[in-house]
Amino acid sequence: MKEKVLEIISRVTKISIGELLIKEAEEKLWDSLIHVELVITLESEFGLFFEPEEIAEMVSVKKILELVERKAE
Amino acid sequence: MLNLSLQKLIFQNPSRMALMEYQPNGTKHVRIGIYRNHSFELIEHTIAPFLDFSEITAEFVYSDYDDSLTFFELDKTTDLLILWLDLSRYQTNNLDSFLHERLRILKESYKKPILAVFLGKSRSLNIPGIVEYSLSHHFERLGNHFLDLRLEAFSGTKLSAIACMDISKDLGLRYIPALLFPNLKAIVLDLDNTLYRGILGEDGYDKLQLSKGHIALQNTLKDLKHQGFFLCIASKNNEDDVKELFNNRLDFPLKWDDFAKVCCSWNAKSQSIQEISRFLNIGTESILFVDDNPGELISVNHDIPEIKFLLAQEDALKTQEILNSYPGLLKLQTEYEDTIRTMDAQANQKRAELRSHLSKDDYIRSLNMTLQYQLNNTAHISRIVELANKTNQFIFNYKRYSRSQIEELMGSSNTAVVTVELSDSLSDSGIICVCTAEKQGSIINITECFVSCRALGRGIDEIIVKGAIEVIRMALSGDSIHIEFQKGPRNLPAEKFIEHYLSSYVDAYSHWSYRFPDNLVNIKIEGV
Repeated sequence: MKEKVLEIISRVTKISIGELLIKEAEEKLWDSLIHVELVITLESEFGLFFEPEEIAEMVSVKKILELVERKAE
Repeated sequence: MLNLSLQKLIFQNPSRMALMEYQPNGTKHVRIGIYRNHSFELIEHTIAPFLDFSEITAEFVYSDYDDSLTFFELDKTTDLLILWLDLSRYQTNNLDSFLHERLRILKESYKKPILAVFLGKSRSLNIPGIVEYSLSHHFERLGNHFLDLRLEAFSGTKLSAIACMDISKDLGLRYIPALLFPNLKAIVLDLDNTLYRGILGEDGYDKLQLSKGHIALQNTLKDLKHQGFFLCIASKNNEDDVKELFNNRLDFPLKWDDFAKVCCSWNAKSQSIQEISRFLNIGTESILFVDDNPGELISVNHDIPEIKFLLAQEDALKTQEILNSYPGLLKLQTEYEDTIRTMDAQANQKRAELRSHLSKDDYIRSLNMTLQYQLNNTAHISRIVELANKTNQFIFNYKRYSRSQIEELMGSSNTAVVTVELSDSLSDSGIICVCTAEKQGSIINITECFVSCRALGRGIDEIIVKGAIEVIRMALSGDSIHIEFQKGPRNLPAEKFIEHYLSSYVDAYSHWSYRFPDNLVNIKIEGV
């Protein structure tokens, strides 16, 4: 699952997976519209539904990975 | 331009990611202004493949978020303006009058096409020259999924991602091409496995299957015919078999008379399409060719690359869905001339028969033609703009007038717009010529003149054009005329006409003298 999430983040943000892993905990790697695209794509690919407070949390690669893994359980 | 993979991508429920990652190749580059009070970017993210199917590559130019609609920072160099407003942001009770006032001011300062898209209570402002695009059908289709308030804080719009995808498809395939480029003019159809299921030559007309999808597709085509598109057939069948099919299959919504031209031949379909193009006197770039056989499409693409293509699907409902969204088939306003077009083309065939055994003057008299010249008739503006933007051959300067430009020309005392309507004993052709002029000192400058191809070749071209100039001369009170002419890519017919009849008025002004011929055609003049 982690690989698929990373691949989606990379395709949406157009940042390489290598760079995403280096900057895993870094916030503001993308703007608010890319943030929205990430939410929409992850929901569609994994059949998930994020609550507003979860959407607000998804500010770094690390937090997205944690959230998707938790929701998909 | 044939692009079967793109047709497949955009009409087979594409994922948002697939749309976002698409690399466009569109040939027509345009700049589109977005004047907004909520975000449009989610639309832009997925619109490229739809615009590419319309052969368009767009650059979007954004305003700041402006609820007050000041239009202070409006970029007037764009080719089209989309007014993108969330009306739920307004608290006023007088929203309609506020919008009327601001849009009127916008229309005065922005002379290119304007598309207004309102999110919120459905309303129709009916401001001439501003096209309104209603979101209500998306709301009806998506219900609770139309809005997504969770994402509003990040996306800047209440619209859901799925609504944005639907809207980008509609704008990219239908509205943006319709606002920027001329409509297509004809749809050339294959028969077997396109309009019905089966092979006419093998199965016989009585064994052909007409599914619900085929009925829906034929009804859509019939509706397009009523909107003014020519329907034609290019089929590898015997013509007698095809006639027998349409005479006997009364369950077919399409009838033999719905087709302006039927070409049945065993030659390459590109030859049939060229024949149709010559018969209708239209360019092949304004023809859509529909066939279920990719090999036929590839072959026609080789011979006529500028034509438009639709690969008909086994499920005719799918073909109908593609046709409903096909670029160049949305008419934002249907004119009287559109509804009479097929009858007029069919009457051309009868005119050709008459002409073959009569002298030119006897032929003209036998048709009992009437030319009606009208000065500055504002009821004609939509048709004038339509004709100005689609005439390619008999046109002096390709001025491509907008609605507001024609309104200005009609409203000023030193300019004039004359329309010419033509009818004869066989059909009514509606408005077929427009001539515009500006008086500069004592000289009348003919700034533009264009004639519909449907009126040419009836032996009255000289009366149509010189008559229009004469009516302008009467209206603007002068006797010296200068004619502006700009050689363009396809206006050879206009150039030859000028060489023959008006050459002394192009390089310098000359004294004008013209008298309508007696007893040849009926002449009516109004508004002078």
